[in-house]
Amino acid sequence: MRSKISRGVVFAILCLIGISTVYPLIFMALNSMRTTQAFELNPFGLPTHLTLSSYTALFSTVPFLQSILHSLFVVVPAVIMATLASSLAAFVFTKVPVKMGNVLFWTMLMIMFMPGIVVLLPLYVEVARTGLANNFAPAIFIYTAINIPYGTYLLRSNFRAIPDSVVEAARVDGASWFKIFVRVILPIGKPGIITVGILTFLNIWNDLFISLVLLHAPNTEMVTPTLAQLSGKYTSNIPVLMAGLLLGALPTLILYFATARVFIRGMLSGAVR
Amino acid sequence: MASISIEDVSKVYPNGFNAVRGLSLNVAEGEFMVMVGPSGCGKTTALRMVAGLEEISSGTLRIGDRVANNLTSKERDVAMVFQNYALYPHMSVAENIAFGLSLRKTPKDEIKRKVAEAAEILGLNALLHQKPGLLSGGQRQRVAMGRAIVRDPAVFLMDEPLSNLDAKLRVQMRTEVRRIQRRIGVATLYVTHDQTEAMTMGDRVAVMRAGVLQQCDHPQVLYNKPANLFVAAFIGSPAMNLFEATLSDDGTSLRLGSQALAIDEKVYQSRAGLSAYRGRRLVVGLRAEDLPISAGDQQSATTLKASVEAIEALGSELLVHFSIDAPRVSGEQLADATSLETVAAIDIVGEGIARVEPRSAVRVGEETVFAVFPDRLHFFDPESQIAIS
Repeated sequence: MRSKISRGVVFAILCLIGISTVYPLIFMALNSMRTTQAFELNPFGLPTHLTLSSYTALFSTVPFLQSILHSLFVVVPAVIMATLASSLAAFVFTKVPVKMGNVLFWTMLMIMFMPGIVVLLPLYVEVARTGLANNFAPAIFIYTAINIPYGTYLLRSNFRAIPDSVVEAARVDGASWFKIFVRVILPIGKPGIITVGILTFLNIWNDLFISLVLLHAPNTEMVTPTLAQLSGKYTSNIPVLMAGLLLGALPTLILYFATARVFIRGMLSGAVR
Repeated sequence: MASISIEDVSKVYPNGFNAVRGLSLNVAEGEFMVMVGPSGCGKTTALRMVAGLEEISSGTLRIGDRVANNLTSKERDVAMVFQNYALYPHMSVAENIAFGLSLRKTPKDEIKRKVAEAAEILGLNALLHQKPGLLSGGQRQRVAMGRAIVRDPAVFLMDEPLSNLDAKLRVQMRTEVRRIQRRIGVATLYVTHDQTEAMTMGDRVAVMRAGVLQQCDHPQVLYNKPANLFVAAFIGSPAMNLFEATLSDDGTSLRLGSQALAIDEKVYQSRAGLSAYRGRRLVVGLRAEDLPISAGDQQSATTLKASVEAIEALGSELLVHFSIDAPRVSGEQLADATSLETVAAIDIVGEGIARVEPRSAVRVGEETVFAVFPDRLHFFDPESQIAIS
């Protein structure tokens, strides 16, 4: 009897969490298809008739598609490099006997705890002085570097779950450390690595600050600063903004649904320790 | 094929723990050497040093005629079977077995032939395309063996490969491992904590305690002539009965609690050192099978009267748990692998086990008389723990 009640409570709480997660998406989707007037009269009302005028307005007011391309151009190489570097670092920290390995790891974690805003200004000064502002290459490298510590941290606990004896067996079989990484660790750690890749993608895709500072010219602007332009201090066209946010979130949503099973497995592995 | 020669090898960890102390051991070509000892005795560390997975702090390791101290595992050309098998979970059985060969850039058709050969020897033909996760413990064990034999390594190392199997399968795999090793004829170093496994499998057995080699010899020699108290208590099941006793001043009798056993000249002939213990304390050892029920039921100078505490009927024999009033030297204390200190605490009531005929008339709670054969007694120095010979 008691367990039935407590299970009911847990179910209710989970429902609430579920609704609160999904509601913003539904809110965005519904309101992006209403007219501005309809929204302003009743922001939480249901649409009486659907219109795609906000979407046409979006494409005419800001260079939206272009900004998506810019984002992809920065995010994809940064995610690949950061994930690869995190995997390598986590492999070394968990499986390769290196002197001072722990010291190095904790130093890296310390960097992770530093608020991003602290490094932003020096970064900008550096980039501006070297004449590399509004250039994709430094942005890619900076995003890569910033995301390595967190990825390493996640993958370290993930790789720890891989038995050391498997690595030792490969050593006795005659594999070099690099071969062990490529042929043993990467395939076994795949769920964790994909998870880190997705999280890194989200991190960079959703970032506003750094892209605002590094890539602020119209011909380099990424998607988040572009969307930010839609929200002015005095006037905001909410349905157009909703349309932009929904389309801007689309790549991450597609990525999540395409990899949901692996992603959940990766999030859970190494969690119970 | 090669021999393994371990010369005065030690392992000291950075935290100062001395896991292996001055180990010297030779495994000849084709020999099956078993290292046995309680957990924490340094046997696995020694094996890992041979494998190249652990650095050697001091001493020399030779594989064949090469000094191997600073060679990588790959250069040592060793193959190892791990306790938890350590199969690559993402590869099929065939890929697991072939992995070492593909790293050595062996031609594809040769890999195929060798994998098929190994699968044939191990009976894995039907499983070659399965992933390890779907296999039973015994099958995984065989895949691990396959991965080791397929490379024709110079030496074989096995780290408790049977300890994760159930009892029946373990007994079956013992003979199988030996059969495969004989067929391949590679020097093998095999680590286990199970003395029965050691006795049944090893050409020779090396007994370790607290990082120190206690005795290395053929199984029967270890059983019949243990070098010290530890080996005496560790080898054999049930363990040797060990009691504290005193040799009389004239050396003709041995006092065991309130009873006395006659010691004749024959006993001294084979144990020259024993005469030095006249009038002194020593530890006497009796194997369970050397204590048959006395025929006459009469007490004499070559019998031991004891009260029966419990009886285990094993069908072919009875294990009679008895007690006498002589202090017992307990095997549990001896089996403490982490210290080399002498046995201090001694039980007041000595309990022991005798292995007798299944039709013997013994009852729990009654007294019974065991026959003792003085020349089958084992004697040990109570301080140094070394066998008196």
